[in-house]
Amino acid sequence: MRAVGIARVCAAIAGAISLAAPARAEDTIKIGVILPISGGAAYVGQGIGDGVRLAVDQINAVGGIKGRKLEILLRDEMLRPDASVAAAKELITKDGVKFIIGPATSATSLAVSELAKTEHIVNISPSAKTEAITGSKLHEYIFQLAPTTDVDGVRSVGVLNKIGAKSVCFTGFDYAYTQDWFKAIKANMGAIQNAGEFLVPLNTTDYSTVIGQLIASSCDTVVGTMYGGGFIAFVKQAAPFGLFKTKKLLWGANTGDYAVAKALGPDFPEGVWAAASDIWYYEGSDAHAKYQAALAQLQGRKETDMWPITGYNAVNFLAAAIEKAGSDDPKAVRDALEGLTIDSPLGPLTVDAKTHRANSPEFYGQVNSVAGSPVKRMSPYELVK
Amino acid sequence: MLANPIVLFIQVMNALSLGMSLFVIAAGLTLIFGVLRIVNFAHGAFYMVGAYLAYTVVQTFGDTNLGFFLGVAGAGLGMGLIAFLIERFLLTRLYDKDPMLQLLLTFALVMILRDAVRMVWGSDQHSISTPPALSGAVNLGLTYYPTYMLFLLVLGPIVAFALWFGIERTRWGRIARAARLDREMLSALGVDVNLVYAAVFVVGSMLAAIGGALAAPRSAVDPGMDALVIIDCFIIVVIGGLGSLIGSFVGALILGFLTIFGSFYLQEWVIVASYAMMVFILILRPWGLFGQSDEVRH
Repeated sequence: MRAVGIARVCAAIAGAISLAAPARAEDTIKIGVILPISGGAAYVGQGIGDGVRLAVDQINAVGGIKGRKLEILLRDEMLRPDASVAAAKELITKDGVKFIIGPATSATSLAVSELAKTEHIVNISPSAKTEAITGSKLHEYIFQLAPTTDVDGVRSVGVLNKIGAKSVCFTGFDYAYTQDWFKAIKANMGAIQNAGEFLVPLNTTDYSTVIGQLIASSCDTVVGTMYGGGFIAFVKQAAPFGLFKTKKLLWGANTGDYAVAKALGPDFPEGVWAAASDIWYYEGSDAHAKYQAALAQLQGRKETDMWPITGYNAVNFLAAAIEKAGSDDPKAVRDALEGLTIDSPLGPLTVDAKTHRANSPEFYGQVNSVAGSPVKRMSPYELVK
Repeated sequence: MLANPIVLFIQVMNALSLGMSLFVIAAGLTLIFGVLRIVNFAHGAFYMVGAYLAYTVVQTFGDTNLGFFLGVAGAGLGMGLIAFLIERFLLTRLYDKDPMLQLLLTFALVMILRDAVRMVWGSDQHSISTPPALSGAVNLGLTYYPTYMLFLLVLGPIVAFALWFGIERTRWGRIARAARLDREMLSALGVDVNLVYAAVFVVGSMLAAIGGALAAPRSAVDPGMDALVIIDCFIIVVIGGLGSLIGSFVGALILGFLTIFGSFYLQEWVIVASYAMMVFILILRPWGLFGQSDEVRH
């Protein structure tokens, strides 16, 4: 009886899923997009997805690529390598996808890249930063747009020197991005002292121990990588202990973004040095102003976040490569991508033919209260290429 | 570093505070299991809904002391109402059926509530500030300690006492305990057992939601918060013994100390430590520290 009951439930679910699969137009170019849609990093997936949608809408509005429209097939990576690979497999075998954008994070992106390698699928990693993706795990079909951790490391040491750090302690989530970024900083920080490393498991909820260790440390600057909800929790738990009054902070993982600054509001610690792949208040170029206006319309708010530009650039690279290759054959598109240059909202962007890296520019700056701005934001800031 | 008495004192306080804030949530889970014999997978989702409800109330009334405590109360009441509807319209159909169906239902509730939260509040990160009266730090003689964490530390034992008193010393508690032992006999004696079940489920769910609202000033209010807390809750009730209030209290303290001191000595390996301890305790006492086997209970 029990077995029959479970079988019936399974059958019902399977039926519902097959009914839900939408009918698709015949001659579109399908792009598999794998992003975190549920869970604590859903805002990242939402952002990158918005960028993908904006680019696809713009390309389709002028007739697509050689008359063929682009079609997005969005799947949830759930921040889990196994779920990401399962989603990618389904996209490849069931939907016949030849191009995959995503997943968003270092661990999940590495997992899908392995599949792209064996299945010969063009895989553009828009936002993951670990240098392993196009370093030790480089293969013909993987392309990485975000600045890699070794590039980030050099840029970050520049900030450390600028703010006069003498001794640095490291803290963050224990995962690929943290380890690689810290390694790159340590390799480049010269005379600056390393006062210790205090890591916590990914998605910890209690930071008491690490906060105690940081306060007791002799370092004058804390370099950290908790992101999203983890950064919010860390900040709120550390503030009553006075951590931000005694030490300077340099934060990775794009803490200069709108999402966290908005959530924390006045609780965002004044003066954190951070980076962001895009900022809504940049007024350096017409291309950016145009892009930002279109994005603001799509997102329904003036203060757009930093993630969309990564998805936007990924689609535009892919479209340009398909156009250049004159076909949607993955091998031809891969060849076209090598050395390709596009006009991104932040200026010309090139995928290096050998390294498969674009090392996109990022904004670096100090997050402060700014008169007239409802949320804290980077001021001053600079665009680092 | 722990040789420094001040550092050691702060870490002990941290462990107590963490344990007590987890206890409030886990107590609801164990209460529901103790009486209804249902393992509520959706308890973490109730916690998340509580945090979001509190966020909305605080947004409405402002970041004030009044706003915050209205938020906590609103989280409890709002979730209590939702829990009442879930119990009356869904759970009540499954009490005498296959336990597998109850698991499926609570698991389905997790997914439904997750999507409902995303539909209502979006996928953005949110945050609630510490209420002004409880922000900053107090001088405990030895050192300063964050007021809000002290508040959580004191609140845990108060909740524990209130629950103990309610279950062991009141007429309602006696009826709830009787419902756990023999539902049919109690019904035959003229007690409205359905009402008892509904009341226990509502109170247990309110504890989850209040726990979520209270956790908000120390964490983010985001769509992933349920998955993290439910694991801690299950570890607590399993090592303490499913259905045992005192077991949850002790289990929460053990997990609190293990998390704080484990992350000091083991750093990122602390997650493994909590599972290893759970396995160890289950080998020694398969029903948890304060649990009883079904045979003993009857």
